[in-house]
Amino acid sequence: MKLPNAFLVLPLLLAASACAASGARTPEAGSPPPAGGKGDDAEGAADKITKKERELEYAKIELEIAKLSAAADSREAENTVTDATQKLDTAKKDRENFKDLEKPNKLADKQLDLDRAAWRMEESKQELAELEGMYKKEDFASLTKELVLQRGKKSLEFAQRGLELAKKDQEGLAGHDLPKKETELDQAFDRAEKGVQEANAKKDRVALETKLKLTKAEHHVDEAQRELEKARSKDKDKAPGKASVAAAKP
Amino acid sequence: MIAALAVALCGARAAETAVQDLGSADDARTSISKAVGFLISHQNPDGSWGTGTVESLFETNYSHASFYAWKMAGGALCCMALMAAEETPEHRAALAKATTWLLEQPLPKRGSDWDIDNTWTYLYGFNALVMAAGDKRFQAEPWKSKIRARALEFYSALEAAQEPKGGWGYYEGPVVSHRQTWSTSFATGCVVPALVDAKGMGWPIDPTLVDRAVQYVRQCHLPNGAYTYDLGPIPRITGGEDINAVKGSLGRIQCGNWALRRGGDKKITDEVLRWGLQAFFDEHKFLDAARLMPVPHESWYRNAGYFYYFGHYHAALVINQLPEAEREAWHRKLRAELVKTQWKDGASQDFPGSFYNTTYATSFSILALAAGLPGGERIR
Repeated sequence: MKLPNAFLVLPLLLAASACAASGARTPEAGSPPPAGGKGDDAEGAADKITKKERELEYAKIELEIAKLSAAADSREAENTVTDATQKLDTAKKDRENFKDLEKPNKLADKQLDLDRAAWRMEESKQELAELEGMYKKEDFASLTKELVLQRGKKSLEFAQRGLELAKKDQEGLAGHDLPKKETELDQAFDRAEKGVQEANAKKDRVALETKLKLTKAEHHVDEAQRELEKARSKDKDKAPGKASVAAAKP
Repeated sequence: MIAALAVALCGARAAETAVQDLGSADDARTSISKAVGFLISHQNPDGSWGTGTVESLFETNYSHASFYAWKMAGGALCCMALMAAEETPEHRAALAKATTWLLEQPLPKRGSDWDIDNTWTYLYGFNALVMAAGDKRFQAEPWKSKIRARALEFYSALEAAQEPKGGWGYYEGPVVSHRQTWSTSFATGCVVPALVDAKGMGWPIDPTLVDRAVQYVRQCHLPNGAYTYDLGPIPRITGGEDINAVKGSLGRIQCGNWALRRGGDKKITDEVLRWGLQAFFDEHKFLDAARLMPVPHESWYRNAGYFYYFGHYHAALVINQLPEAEREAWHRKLRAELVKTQWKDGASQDFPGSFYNTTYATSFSILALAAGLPGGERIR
């Protein structure tokens, strides 16, 4: 919120200094044009002082800008560190959850599927054997028996195929899917850790850069101040010239 | 609190006494008289009962053909009930009309790929006509020949339908085929004694068909005394409130024990019959709780409402297999459970639905009560 205010202040300051400069340089309405000679020197000195005054104003504004910019850079660097730390925390929790809960649960769940498929096959086998045993006792209703046995045989075949599929599923999960996900989570954790390191390094660098910018801007103001004082001092030494300029005014 | 408990205990005892009080032979006679009155007053002019169409929203899922099948199966049970009841000229006329209808109307056909409830008509049509063949009222011609011929039609239908494992069912099994592939212990058990009797009368009954049926019921008999609902290659009890536990098998135990005993299974001793009857009365609350529940098998241990009168009828038949001296005590207990459920108009009902539900329930009740009265041993 400070930065926009500074941008509003800047044009006003510039406008004010422009008006001041214009007031110093522009002859008053109805006054005669300045004469040559000593009068010109005085005018040159006055311009110099005005220029130095402006340079001082510019330097001060630049210092303000540098301060605001430094604060923004510092905030950004701080936020980057916070974001990176949060990402690391999330990556760490994801990895822990996967290792402690998700991986063993998925393995156990798949093992349950496998056990169920194996038991389904066993049941179908037992039922078919019992049914065949019951049907063998008497030569009766052979066509209907054949139809029912066909269902039983198909049911056993499907149970066997289901078991094979469950085995392959379990192999795929334990040998590929879960290790792949574990690697991805490890990599995400490493990236997040590096992200935190980078953010901290950037923060340190921004702090130094900011310090440098501010120091330069402060020095610039000091130099502009000294230049202005020097110009005023020289002008004081040439006071008569200055008086003649003043005398030239009505 | 003690007073409240005392009042509650007295109330419970009074209720128990009230139920026990309904168990006399006179209670049974009164109940039978009212029930037969109900049947006669609701008989159609052609001798049948009810209609061949769905009359209840609870039964819209069944095939249309099944309602005619149930109408005829219910009519067969009404014939049995009228044969069992004390005769009056009015009863005799109603029985003659009902039997004529059963002899002359077309046999029901398979309803759909899964709904083969027409099997019930074959089972109870055969049962009723075997009973009629032994009834002195039907010994003269043309009754005798007609009854034999029609009974053998039902028998042929049963022969064609008997599933490879030896039983009969009313829904299709794993394969939709001409011969059914699923059956139940009780549908099979309910016809075994009639097959034995028909064979005894010299009818052309294939002894291997009877043996297969007996073997089917025997294989449904679990070591704990219960009968499984159906025969799978490997019996399953899934735990908890399983229908194949004793509490879910109370009616099937009576039907299974009676069928095997009448089928000549020496393992079904008097002791086995007594144990089954004792379990029936000890756990009777499960049948009470299920009676009239509209959704099949919704009650405890998956008891269905329609287990009630089927179970009581077969309990009466089991009682009559015991030595004569101990029958009355059992019949007394059984009568009380039947009389207490009779509607004011004389009908009985255990499942809400079309009218055949009333005809079978009322008929089973009449048969069970008549079995406990003098001469009741003819109901076998």
